[in-house]
Amino acid sequence: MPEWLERELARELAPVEAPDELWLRVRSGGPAVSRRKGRSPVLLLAAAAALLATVGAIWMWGSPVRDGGRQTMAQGSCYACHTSL
Amino acid sequence: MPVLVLERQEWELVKACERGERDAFRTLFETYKNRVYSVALRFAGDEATAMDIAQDTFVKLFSCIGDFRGESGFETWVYRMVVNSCLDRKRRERRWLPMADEFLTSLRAQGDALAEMLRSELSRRVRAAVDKLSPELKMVIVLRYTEGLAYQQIAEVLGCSAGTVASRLSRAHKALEQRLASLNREGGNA
Repeated sequence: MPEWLERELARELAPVEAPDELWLRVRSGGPAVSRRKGRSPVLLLAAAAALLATVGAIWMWGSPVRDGGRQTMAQGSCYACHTSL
Repeated sequence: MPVLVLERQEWELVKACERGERDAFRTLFETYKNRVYSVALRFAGDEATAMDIAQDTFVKLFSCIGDFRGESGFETWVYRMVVNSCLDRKRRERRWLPMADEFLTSLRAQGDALAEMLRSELSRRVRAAVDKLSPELKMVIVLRYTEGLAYQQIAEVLGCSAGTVASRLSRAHKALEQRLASLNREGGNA
C-alpha cells in the first residue's frame, strides 16, 4: 500500500477521547434506548391522528354515494343481476 | 488458567463487577471508554451514532460480564462487544432504513458544500472512501488504524483467521487506493 494512504488512514482514523456524557448515559440506562422509546408514542399518536383524519374524510366524502347505492338496492333495480345479455 | 491469560488486577476487577461493585464498573469504564468510543466513531462516522453504540456496548458488557470466562484476553472480549454492536447497528439500519439513510446522506452531502470551505477536502474524501467500504472491510480498517491491533488480535476479535484479516485488509487497501487515486495525483501536482 502506498505510504501516503497509510499516513492518511492513520491520521483520519486516529483514536479519540470519549465524551464525559457517555458515563452518564451508561449509568442512567441512557437516551439511546429511551429516546427511541420516547419517540414512538408521538409517532403512534401522529399515525393514529392521520388515520382518523383519512377515515373521516372518506366517510364524509363517500356517504352520498353509499346512500345512493342503498337506495338503488332498495328499489330492486340491480342492473348487473337483473339484466340478460 | 484464565488468570494466566488475564492480568491479575483486571481479573479481580471483573470479579468485582460480577459482585455488582459500583467502583469496579467505573474503573472498567474508564479503562476502556476511549477504545470503545473510538471504534464506534470511526466505524459509524458520526458522533451521535457513536454515542449510542458505545452506550449499548457498555450496558451489554456490564450485564454480561458474568459470561466472561477468561478464555481470551478481556480487551479482546471488549473489542468483540463493540464490533458486534457496530455490525448489529449497521444490519438494523440496512434492514429498516435504506431509503432514509440514502436521503440523509444526500442531505448531508448538500450541507457539506457550505462547510467545505472550512474543512479539509482531503480529510472529507478519505473518510467518505472509508465509509463506502463494506462493514466487514471497514471494521478491519478501523481495528487496524484506530486501535493499531495486530493481525492476530483482529482475527481473535472477529473470530476469523489471520489470513482472512490479511485478505480483507488487502481488499480494503486496494479499494481505498482506487477511490483516492485522484486525490494523490492532485496532491502530487499541487
